[in-house]
Formats: sequence, C-alpha cells, structure tokens
Amino acid sequence: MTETGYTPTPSKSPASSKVMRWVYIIGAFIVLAAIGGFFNRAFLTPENGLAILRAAAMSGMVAMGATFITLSGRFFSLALGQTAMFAGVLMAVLMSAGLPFGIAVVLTFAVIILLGALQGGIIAMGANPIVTTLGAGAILAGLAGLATGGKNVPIESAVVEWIGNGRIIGVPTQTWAFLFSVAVAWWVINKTRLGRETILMGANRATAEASGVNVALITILVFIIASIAAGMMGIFEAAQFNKARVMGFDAVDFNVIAAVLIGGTAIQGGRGSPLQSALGAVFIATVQNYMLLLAWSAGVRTVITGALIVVIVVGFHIAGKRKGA
Amino acid sequence: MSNVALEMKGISKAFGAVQALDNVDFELRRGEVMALLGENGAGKSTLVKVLAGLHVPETGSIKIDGKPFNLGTTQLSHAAGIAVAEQELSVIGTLSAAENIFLGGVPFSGPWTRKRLAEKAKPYLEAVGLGHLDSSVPVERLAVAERQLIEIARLLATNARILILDEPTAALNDSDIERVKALVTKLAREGHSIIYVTHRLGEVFEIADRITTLRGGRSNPPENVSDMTLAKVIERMIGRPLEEMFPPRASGFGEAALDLRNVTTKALPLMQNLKVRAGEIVGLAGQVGSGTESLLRAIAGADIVETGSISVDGRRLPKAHKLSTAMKYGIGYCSSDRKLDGVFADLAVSTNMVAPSMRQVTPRFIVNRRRIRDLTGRISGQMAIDPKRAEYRVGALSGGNQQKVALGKWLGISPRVLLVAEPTRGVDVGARAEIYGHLRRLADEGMAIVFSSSDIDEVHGLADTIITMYRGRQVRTVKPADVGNHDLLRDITHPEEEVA
Repeated sequence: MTETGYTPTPSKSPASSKVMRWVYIIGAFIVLAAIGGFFNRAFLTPENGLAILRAAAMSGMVAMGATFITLSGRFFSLALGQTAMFAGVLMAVLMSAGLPFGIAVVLTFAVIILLGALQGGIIAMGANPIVTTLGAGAILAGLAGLATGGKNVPIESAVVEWIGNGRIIGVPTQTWAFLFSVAVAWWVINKTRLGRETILMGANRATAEASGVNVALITILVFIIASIAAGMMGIFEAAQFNKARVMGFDAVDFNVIAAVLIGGTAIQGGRGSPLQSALGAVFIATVQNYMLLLAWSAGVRTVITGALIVVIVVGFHIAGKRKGA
Repeated sequence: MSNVALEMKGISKAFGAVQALDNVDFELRRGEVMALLGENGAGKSTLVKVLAGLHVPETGSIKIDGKPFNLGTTQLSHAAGIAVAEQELSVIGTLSAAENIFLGGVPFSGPWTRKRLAEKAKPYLEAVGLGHLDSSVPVERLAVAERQLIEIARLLATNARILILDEPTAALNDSDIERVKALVTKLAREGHSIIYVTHRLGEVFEIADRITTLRGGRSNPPENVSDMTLAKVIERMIGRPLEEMFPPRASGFGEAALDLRNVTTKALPLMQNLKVRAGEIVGLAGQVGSGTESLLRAIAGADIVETGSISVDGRRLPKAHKLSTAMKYGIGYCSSDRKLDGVFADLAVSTNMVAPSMRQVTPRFIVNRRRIRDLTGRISGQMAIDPKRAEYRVGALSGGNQQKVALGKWLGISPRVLLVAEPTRGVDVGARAEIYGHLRRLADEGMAIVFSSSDIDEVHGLADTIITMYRGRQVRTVKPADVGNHDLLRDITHPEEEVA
C-alpha cells in the first residue's frame, strides 16, 4: 500500500552479492598480508602462518557454534567463555577422581549438552538470550570456582598431553579441530534441514512459525551446538596446559562475537555463514599476530582490535543499508 | 482571472535510471476535488512531493493562480499556499491537538499559553468537525480517524488554498471514512482546491469532481468523474482494457472439506459454524475487527480454539491445535500482513516457496537440491511467477508478485483447505484479477478456500458463498446472486437496523 514513488531496480540475485562479499574479504587478506610482509619479514613465513591459524583456532571453533545462534535470530550467548572453562574443569575433576579420559570426555559433553539445552529452552519460552546467557555464565563460573576452590586442577594423562600439544603432519591438533568444525558447521548450515530452518527462523521468526518450523526446537538446538563448540575449546585449552584453569576465559565471548560480526553475519539473523565467521576469526588473529611481531603494547593492541571491529561492522551495516530495501 | 488554481506543465523527474515523472501535465481548478490515481510506482507520490517542495523537477513549469512559481523548498511551497497531509500520519502523539495544529508556527505574537493556543485552535478543530474535542489532550489518546482529522486541521491553519491529501482514508474503517469524505466535500465547497490521492476507487465517485490518472510516470488528461466508470478508471491506470476482474464461478462442488462446529476462541466468544466444500470459495465479509480474520486464525491454529471441533475431510483436528498441526491436516494459511508472517522478505523467492515443505525437500534431514528445484519450478509454473526471479529477494518484488509467492508456497504441501486473509491487500488493481484467477483455479482443482476481506466488491465478485460478519457474529450466509453490494455493506456496518 505504501507507494515508493518510483520502482526500485530489483536487487541483484543473492548469488552475485555473495561473490562480491568473498572478493572483499579475500582482497582484505591479500592487502593485509602484503603490507605486513613488506614491513616485517617474519610475518610472511609458513611458521607464522601456522601460528596465526593456531591462535585463531580457539575462538574460531567456538565462533562456529556461536554463528548458529546469531543466524537463528537469537543474537549471542554471553556464556560461551564460562562454558569452555566449566568443561575443562569438569573433565579435570572427573579425571582426578580416577575416571579414564574417554569416559570423562563423554560425561563432560553430556553435561555441556544439557546446559545448552537448558539455556535454549528458557530462551525458547520467551526469555531474552543476552540476559539468560549472562546469568548462565555467572552461574557456571561460580560452580567452577566452587568445585576447584579457585585453584587450577592438574591433569596427568599422555592422551591429554598429546591432544593439547600434538601435531598431525606438522599442524597442531587445535588447528585440525578448528578446520574440522568449520567443515561441519558449513555442511550443517547449507546442507541440512536444521541449517535451512535456522536461516528461515533468523530471517523472520513469525513467518517461519507460520510455515511450520519448530522454532522452540531450533532455539534449543542452536544453543546446544554453541555449547558443544565452547566445551570443545575448553577441553583443548585444559589439555594444552595439562591443567584446567579457572582464569583466562574473559576474552572468549568478545573474540567470538567479534569473529561472527566481522565475518558479516547479520546481528538480527537470517544472513551469514560459518565460513565467514571462520575468516573473521583468522582476520582478528592475523591483525593481533602482526601487532605482536611489531612488539606493540597490550593496550595499543586492544584499542586497535576494538576500533577495527567497530569500523568493519559499521561498514557492513552501511553497505547493507545502501543495498537493501 | 481564470478559475485554475494550479497548473503544472511538462514536469519530469528521474531517480537514477528510473523516470518517475515523464513530461507530466496537471491542472487543478479552484474549489474542486481532483482525484489523483495510479498504481504503485505510477508517480503519484513523486508528483505530490514536487508540490510539497521536497523534490525539484528537472524540467517543467508550475503556475499558481496564473503566476509562475518556484517550489524548490518546503518554505516556498508553503508560501505558495500549498499544504500536504502525508500518507503516514505525521501528528505528534505526545503533543496536544492544539499544539499539533500550530506545529508550523503560532499565528499570534505575545505570550504563548495553553489557553490562548486552545482558543486559536478552536476554529480549525470546528472546521474538521472536532469542535467538541478537549484540545489539550495528547493526540495519541485519540482515535486514528480523529488524528487524521487533526492532520487536516493543521493544513487549514497554514491558510493554504491548495490541500493535498495523500491516502487520508488508508488506515480508517468505514464509518470514519465517511467523516473524512464529508469534510473533503465541505472544504471544497468553502473554496479550497483539493488534490485527493487514494487507492479506494469507490471514494472517487462519491467526492471527486475530476480525475487525473498517472501511469508509469506519464499523465492522462483530466476527466470529469461524471463521464467515467470504475472499469474506465482502472483501464486508465493499468493502460489496457481490464479483462473480467473476477473469474467465472464453479459449476458444482465436492464433498465437505472443512467443517467447523461451535468453535470459540478468545477473540471469538460467539460460537462459529462453517462448512466449506471442495472446490468452493467462501468469502467472509466484514470490517477490521469484525472477526473474519479471527475465524481464519482459529482454523489455522494461530489462535487457540477453546471449544468446538474442526475437521478436514472428516478427520477431526486435536483440541487447541497449533499452526504446525493444522498444516499436517492440510490447512494452509496466509495472514493479512504478508511482511509480518507471510514471506521472508530478505530471502530468495525459491527459499520462500519451499519453506512450508522442508520435510519433502530435506529427506532424512539432508537438503535435496533437485527436489527444491522441482518444487520451485512447479510452483512458479502454477502461479505464473517468472522463474528467472527464483533467486531474487522477495522484498524486491511488487505486491502482486509477493502475494503470489505467499499463496504459492502452500502448493508444496498440497493443502485441502486454503485460508487467505485480505487476498489483495497491497496488490495493484492490474494484478488483482490475476490473484482472483489463481484462487479460482486452485478451487477448481479441488481445494476448499476461505478468504476474509473488508472489500465488499471483492467478496461479492469472487466468493461462491458469502458470510457477512459483524462484531464476532455471523450475520448471514448468502449466495452472491441473491444480494447486492448495498445489502452486504449494511450487514457489515450496522446489521441491527435491518432486524429492527
């Protein structure tokens, strides 16, 4: 009924705008790498490439799960760092009680899945995801503190040692896990009913519901997926240091959200992909790695990372607005 | 001095590659109501914005009372005695009626008290029939119709001689529309020249003196309303003769496909009974809030059914069924608000089409591209949607094409019953006939269709069986051949008088 005054030229097919987005992203990487290599020889070496991938792996694998939440229109979880910490602590506690690694891992993931389902269930009933996960995160951090008395829990196991520090054809285990989770997340989003329905729900929840999508179920599933990803990261983190730590997870939620947003996944959902979030994680790791090579101070690095996120996310927003409508 | 208040000649305005106005001529006489008509995108709003000083045309001349005028800014437009009531209400809810009327400036010097403001506002409120109103009450507490009238009062307060009303009745119900129409006629009689933009063609014949139609940015010469018919007006707007607007009716029906017995919901406390046979189109006629859409929502499972039973092909739906349950029983539902819950505006046409059929296109939970392609192709073919647009965003399509996607997506689940609220809301006149044709064809293929509409002509022209509703009550069930539009209008506005 609203008259636009003139007929807008029909927007290009989604396929070509997708291609353009990849051109931008890959272009940004090439420019970054060229500048970096020019000013610092150590930057463009295979070893440094592996170091960047390894640094990106931790928050990157969590971002794979978190992308599901954002795509489904449920914004973010602010409990992923705490879930990771809780998973590491739980596994360490179970193992120090004498359980073998395999059983400890299975039990840990069972608990993590339950926690994700609980949060998703509460949100499906109408609670705000930010508030719910903020509370859940505090509870998890508190429980981990209670269980450990605030101290690190050592883990003694050859398997865990290898998981934390081993390499397969020269590439660290964490990096393999990251690449594996990227492949799985991409496949689930693009090739399965769950992925399709996640996108539908994020694009327009009311229409999805009217089309028969079980939005409550999808909500629970995306929070389970994100929790599993966070739990995986927590176990790798504990394995790397041979102990479960109750500190050092403060930046996880920030890095994960930054990766998802820099990747260009829409905050309100329905548009984006895990592949983009993976590139977002690698991009952040690359910038941070380069600043480390230049020996910039922590304060400067944090400011620049933050500014970069704002600039890029606002840039996406403006570009989206110009294209949209 | 001639009696021409406003004359525009050769007005052109382009936005990028789109020629919104192409050498448009327009003439407005003193004291007349000129209807400005056209489909979406025909250039009506652009023309209005040129007069308001919001757009500067590239070519053309504008004369007011015979003198050339430059309307390059809103101030110049005001100074020329032009005032525009926008399509979207622009009264400010937290301010009082009096404050709204004098938003553009206070017509007196000296202290600025609430009392003086109310005094000064009084004549303008009286002029629009709101003299009884306490002008210090925040406008947001008033009815939509009253806010619309205050908007018009504001135009009068600028002492404008040329009033432009852009769809003043779009958001109003029938009795409120009467108030606005009466006001427009009165203002014209008092010497105002009025440009009246509307989509409700029926209004034109009641209040307008002449008609200017725009099509694709070009203007037709003005015509006297007395020389026109509805069909002629539509022909001017769509640029070709209008085939029969409504398809021929069905010759016979099958078994009962949908059967409601004593159904109540929160929104419908009075018991509802309804029987629809395969191949039959039932039209529920009623104003907004009469319960027509609530009845569809109850069947679809969007509202919870509290008592009674609903069966499809003799299979009874479980109590308090949900949307997804109704779908499993073969019920498809299109609400009246497409953008809210009918389509995914940001997603591709093909994605929209397969959304209710996720089970079929993802066997064993895995996406099957061929099934998506086949289903999309089948729906595009049946609904005559250009397959080249399969990957376009639905939001970029015209209202008519969006509606075809919203209807067509249900074909994937082969529904027995299709429920459609306001089937042609936001659909251009030219595309309406096509939507009616699709609904009739689906019925002929054996579907039972129930639609709700506040448009009497639509119900009368399309339905095999008409049910009129008023305040949650079914007034009567009739065949279209047995009633005239006038009877239907009475049923849905004040049926009590008929009984008395």
